[in-house]
Amino acid sequence: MDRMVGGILVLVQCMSVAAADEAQDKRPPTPEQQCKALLKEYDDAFQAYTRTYREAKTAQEKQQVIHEKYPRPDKCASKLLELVEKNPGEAFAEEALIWILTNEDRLRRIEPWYAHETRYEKIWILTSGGRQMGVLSKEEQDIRSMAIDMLLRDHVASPNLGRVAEMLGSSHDKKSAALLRAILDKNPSKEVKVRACVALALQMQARLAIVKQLRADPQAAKSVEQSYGKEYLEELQRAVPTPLEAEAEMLFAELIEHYLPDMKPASVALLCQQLYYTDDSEMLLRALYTMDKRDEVRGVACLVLGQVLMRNADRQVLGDAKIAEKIHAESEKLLEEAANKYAEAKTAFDGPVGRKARSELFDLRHLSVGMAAPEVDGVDQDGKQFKLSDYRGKVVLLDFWSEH
Amino acid sequence: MQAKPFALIGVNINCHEPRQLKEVMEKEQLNFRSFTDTADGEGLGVISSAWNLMGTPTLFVIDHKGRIRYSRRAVPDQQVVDEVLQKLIQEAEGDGK
Repeated sequence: MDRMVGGILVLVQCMSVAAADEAQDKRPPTPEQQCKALLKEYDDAFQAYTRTYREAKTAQEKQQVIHEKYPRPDKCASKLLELVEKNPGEAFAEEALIWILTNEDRLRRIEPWYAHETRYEKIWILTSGGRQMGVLSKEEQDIRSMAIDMLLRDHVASPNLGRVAEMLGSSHDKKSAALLRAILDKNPSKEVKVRACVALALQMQARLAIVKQLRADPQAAKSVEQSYGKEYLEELQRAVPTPLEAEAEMLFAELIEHYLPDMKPASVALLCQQLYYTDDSEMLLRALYTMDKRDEVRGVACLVLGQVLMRNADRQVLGDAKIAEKIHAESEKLLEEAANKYAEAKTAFDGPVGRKARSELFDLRHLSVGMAAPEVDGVDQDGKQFKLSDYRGKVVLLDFWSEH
Repeated sequence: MQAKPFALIGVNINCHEPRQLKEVMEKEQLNFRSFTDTADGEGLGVISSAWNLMGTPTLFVIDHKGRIRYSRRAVPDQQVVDEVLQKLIQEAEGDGK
């Protein structure tokens, strides 16, 4: 948790600048000074929130702090936007718009999962920081959409859009896709373009995943609507997978042929590994595994694809056992290839591919869905000896946890 | 959930003495039964190593016959875990009758 708050703080601090000496200055503050003051005000409120959060002792207290003290970025964003609207095209406007899009946050109702177990309320709050991804409010959507419009109109060639492009990778709206396309067309910076193309690919991948999910399971519509809104749901329900897949393949090929060669193998390796944490990245990983020319990239893509397939097989618990078996087998083949052929390639944060692949093969063969659970024999908090198998006959949720 | 064939079992990975673990759990208001892991001398816990642990939270759902039926090495998705548990509890109840 500390690390996460730290990350946000650093981000906010980078963007805030100490307010100018307004006290001595009799003239009304310039728009730029007003912008800086707004950012400082937000920064201060955020630091106060973080302090109070750290001081809160119990989970309940922390939850209360989140509800009462968390400074909603949308309030600051709407003031910034007003300032930019009155002074379009100025240098500070670019900074303000980038702030709006990169600090967009979604403070949502905290719904503890597993309400009957305090343990899980706590996991939820700690890991989400009390925030839950979800549909932006109408007001938040308007702010976001206007900020995108203004960036598109006045700043599309800016060298500072890399971070915005990256953030938009997890968006689903048409406007953000339009901005990314415009960056690809008009931005002179290679680095910004690479990130825009990666973001577009991620958007495409997510869209495709949802379209397929909706076809396979019409029940999914409810949760898609909850997460992304009715309009987007209806658009995806109308979409046809095959042309969308062809479009995705073209985009992935463009990414791999034109943009990724400019990225260092280590950065592409990192991208591959990040793909593990996004849903349904199978198609993009396959493209990377088969099309990237560099062994160090293919090795990592091979490993992560194997990991993703293992997870997909595990997810079939509610589905078809035969399909699960087939995916399981392909995962094993890929992980073996990663362990043997690409052993020396380096992952971004898991050490050499070979070692990681062997560890994953152990998981696949002993700890994946369908395998007999290894025995656990130990003592509980009262010093009493017990075994996992004592609970045979019951469904067990085995939770590895740490208080740190 | 109490009457259902279900148990939440923890494995605390920090290799506390049982008494220390009890203190931690009281302070954190945790009300389930938990193993305390034992150090293996190489900076890891015996249980954590056997289960190839990468970090917490990590969850496994084990059915009434002792087979792994679900795992998650990250923040759990409430809906999926709920569905899996419901399905498996039904299976367990079906077999018990």
